Amino acid sequence: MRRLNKKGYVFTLDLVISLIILIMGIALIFYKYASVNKTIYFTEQMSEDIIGVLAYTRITDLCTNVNDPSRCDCPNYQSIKAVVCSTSPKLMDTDANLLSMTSEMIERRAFSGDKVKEIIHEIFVTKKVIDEKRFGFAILYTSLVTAPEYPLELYNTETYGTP
Amino acid sequence: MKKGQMITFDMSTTLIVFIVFIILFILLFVLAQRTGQKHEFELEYVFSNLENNLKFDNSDPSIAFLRNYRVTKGRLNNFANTVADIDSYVIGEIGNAHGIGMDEEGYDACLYFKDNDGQFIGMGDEGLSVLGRLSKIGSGSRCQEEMITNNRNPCDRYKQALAMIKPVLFDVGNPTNNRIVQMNLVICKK
Repeated sequence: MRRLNKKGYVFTLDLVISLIILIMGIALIFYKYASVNKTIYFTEQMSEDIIGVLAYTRITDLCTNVNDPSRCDCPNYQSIKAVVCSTSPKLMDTDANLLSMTSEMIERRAFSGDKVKEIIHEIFVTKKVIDEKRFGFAILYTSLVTAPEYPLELYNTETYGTP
Repeated sequence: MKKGQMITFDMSTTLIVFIVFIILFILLFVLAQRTGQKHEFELEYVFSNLENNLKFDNSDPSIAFLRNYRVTKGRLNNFANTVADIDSYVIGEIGNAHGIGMDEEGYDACLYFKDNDGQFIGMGDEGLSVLGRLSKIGSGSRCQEEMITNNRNPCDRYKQALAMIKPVLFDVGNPTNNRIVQMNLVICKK
């Protein structure tokens, strides 16, 4: 009787270990398939899209009377207005897209780098186009004329607002 | 059978079952990874060709609302009034030809725009917040705005949800109201 009990004990222990392994395996497989239904965001193209929308949006799409400083206005974008409608310094090419405008600001050094940062921040972050808590981004500019080897950081969500 | 033989036999059986189970698990894991990559490739293709596909129906250029990161409000409204299910434009085929060539039966697509205040931009005469239908929910009900608003997965009963966010210029015809907004496309994989 005692011998039978011992054998039963060995088999029970064996069964328990097998069951634990089995349950662990099933749990792992279940976790793998249960976690499939989540939203995957495609962010690969976002950098291209940020530059793309700047390249295809003209100043005149967002601002009125750009050649008349007294009536010039960019109703939805105060940071763009501060550059486009400014008389001193004055933007030379107002018939351009936002990317070209940024380029002129940098190359002429007439406007401070903070102005460029403010424009990018207002267009994409303040106006809730890109949620920077979820998608951080940085924009670099390489001047082929003045410093082709050193890209200039125009905007970085991680450092914006820090001195 | 002696006790030692029984234990050895039992252990061998356990080991075989264990090894078979591990092999099955590894195979399932590897296969699942491969399937995921395939979906990503498909959807990458959809997203990169979105602009061409949305303006594909050349017979009616008035509904080709997206061009060079510019969404024309009038054309978007025409599109919303004309097209209920956008799957054909995003994934499937129209006029026996299409750039993607995928089976639209396997996917459902939802398209919506979010304004600078975080609210949905109304489309068409009905002021629809979201375009597209989910064939797995009810009998092809509209993409549920409530779920998207509450940051819930609109593809709840689907295998996978893939989303794209694209900044676009919302062109209403005058600089006073033109603004850069967020275009969203969610694709539910059946």
